[in-house]
Amino acid sequence: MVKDVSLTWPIEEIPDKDTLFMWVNKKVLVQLRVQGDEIPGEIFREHGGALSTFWEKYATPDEARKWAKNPLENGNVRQIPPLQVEHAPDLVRRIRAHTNILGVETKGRKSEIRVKLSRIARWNIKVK
Amino acid sequence: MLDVNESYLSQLLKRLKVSPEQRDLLLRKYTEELAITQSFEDLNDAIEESRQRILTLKEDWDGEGGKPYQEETWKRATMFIRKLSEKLWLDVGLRLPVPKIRPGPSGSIDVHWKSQKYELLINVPENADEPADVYGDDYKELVIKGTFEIPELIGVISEWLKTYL
Repeated sequence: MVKDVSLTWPIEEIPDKDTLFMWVNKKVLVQLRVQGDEIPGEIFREHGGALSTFWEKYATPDEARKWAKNPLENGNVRQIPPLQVEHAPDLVRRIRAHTNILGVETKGRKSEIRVKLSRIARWNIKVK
Repeated sequence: MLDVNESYLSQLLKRLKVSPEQRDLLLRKYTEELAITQSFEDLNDAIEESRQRILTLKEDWDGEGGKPYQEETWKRATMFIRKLSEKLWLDVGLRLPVPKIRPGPSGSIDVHWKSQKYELLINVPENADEPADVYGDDYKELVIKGTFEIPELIGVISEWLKTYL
């Protein structure tokens, strides 16, 4: 018997009030010499043309713990031009919560965007 | 406090029959220069530490396919810091706080100052033909941002930092 698994998910509009979780590799924090509760702008990096985050609507607490450590208020992200937030379910890894933030490394705005992202982010799970 | 009264310079000035007032002035300047040398040591230590840390990063150092960093990029970033530090000292006698020197995105180097009065992030790109990307503010309305060539940036940033140092 084959379990019915949907192969695609619709792209949804993410409300401004919703939270996005961002995963930060501990190796990066070590190399950046991050101290205490500091959230440096340097952690916000594009990979494959976007900053990957996870939408709380489809991230259970357990999944959020596994994938994401650093939550961002979606509405605040959209207030930093030219950032765009796009729901982009990851069909390969089967992560419906996957959401891209586009424009983090925009030329001429790279430093400004990262400083502003660091100011609206907060740690959700403390790094050990 | 360093005592320079018995220094070689002091003895030399006495032999040259320099007036006591002039001698005091020169010795005070000498003392200040020794102090800045000590201050530059902190900066030199931070720069050397960043060399070891950043230039030894290997492919996929961040677990996300991050690339290694080129020595040329690091040299441009740290030369900027040294020149900025020297300019601030020579122009107005201010000491540059030691910044965080960090591996930035796409092979670039980030130079970051953060204090209660201001935050300043300068991104030095891997491509030497591209300008540095700058953002700084006082957490209120006094903002500096944009792209600058490094020689121009030294003057711009030293002027901006004078407000806070």
